Amino acid sequence: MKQQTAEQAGGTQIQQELIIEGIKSAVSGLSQMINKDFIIKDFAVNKVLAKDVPYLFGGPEAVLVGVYLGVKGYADGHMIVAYQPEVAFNLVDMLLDQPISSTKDLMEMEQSALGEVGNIMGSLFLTHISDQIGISYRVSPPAVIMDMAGAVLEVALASILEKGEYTYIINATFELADRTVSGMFLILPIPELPNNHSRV
Amino acid sequence: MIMLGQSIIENNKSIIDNDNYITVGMGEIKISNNTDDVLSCLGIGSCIAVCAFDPISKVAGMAHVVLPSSNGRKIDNPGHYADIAIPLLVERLIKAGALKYSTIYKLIGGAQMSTAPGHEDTFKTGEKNALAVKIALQEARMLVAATDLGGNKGRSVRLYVSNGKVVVRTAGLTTAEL
Repeated sequence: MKQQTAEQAGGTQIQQELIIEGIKSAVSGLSQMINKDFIIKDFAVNKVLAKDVPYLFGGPEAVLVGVYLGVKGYADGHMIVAYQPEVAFNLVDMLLDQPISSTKDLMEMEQSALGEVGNIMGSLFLTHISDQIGISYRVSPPAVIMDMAGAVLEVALASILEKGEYTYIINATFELADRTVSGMFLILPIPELPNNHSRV
Repeated sequence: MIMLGQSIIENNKSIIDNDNYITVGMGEIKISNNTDDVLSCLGIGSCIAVCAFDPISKVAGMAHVVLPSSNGRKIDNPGHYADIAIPLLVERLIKAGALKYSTIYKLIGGAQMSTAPGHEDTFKTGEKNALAVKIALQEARMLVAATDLGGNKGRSVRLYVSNGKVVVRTAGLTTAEL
């Protein structure tokens, strides 16, 4: 598994460790949820300028699927699990046990499936962080949006830009027996992610 | 003094699509009197693209408003909040040569990107933004000539400095002049 170093990604060592372990926990939970073994092929944590985030997804006008989760607790924030459409369709096929390329659009059932994945991953990710540093976070129900990348990401970016310039992007690639799901991203509310807490 | 044809783009850190397309990022305000320029807000949802054009001086401006109110907070990015962005846009337009009472404004955006339960407040920002921008323009006694606000789709907006034409592209690839 390829993995970026803390120095490459920026941020403190404790933030990096928390994020990496949180992702592992989230993927493990996802594997259990759909009863399939995911292998994390590689992932990278990048600290980026929040205003540049839409350009990482092909630009503000490129179509993007985002699962939005509101974060409440120690501090309020946002998370978005975002996929390029073809990746989201591939994931839906996997979740619904369909042949590859069956899904062509996101109707109610497909949105619900993607929302559940986002919900499970976001919840497990935050639960891991909460457990490690002894503070409480909880996530809202998921909202699935498919639209221009700028519009999908705007709610989270607006909040981040109120408090700082940077955020974390995690680019993960998972592998299953017959397919690879790449380009899954998590946008973290970096201003609210503690950088000076000790593990409990 | 600004010479005609001389670009007076502010904040040139922004991403420029090509020689003439100038992206106005979140919280940014751009002014131009270069008739080759096209000011653009791309992929906006709840944000508002405030387009301004003075047909006499040919000065144009665009603000990408993100949230309705600064609530008195000290901020680095003055275009972020409607209550600060609008007076600043008006001020910069006038400074660039626009005439206050011949400048017309067009407002685009303010969408509610999700109606999922549990997110009513979060995704109502568009409606609040639209109201805040309208109030701020009213307080500045500015004329709003057209609006394309609300709905639940993302939009891209382009303002042609040569003639003030505003073109709105909605997700799903419909394009129309406002």
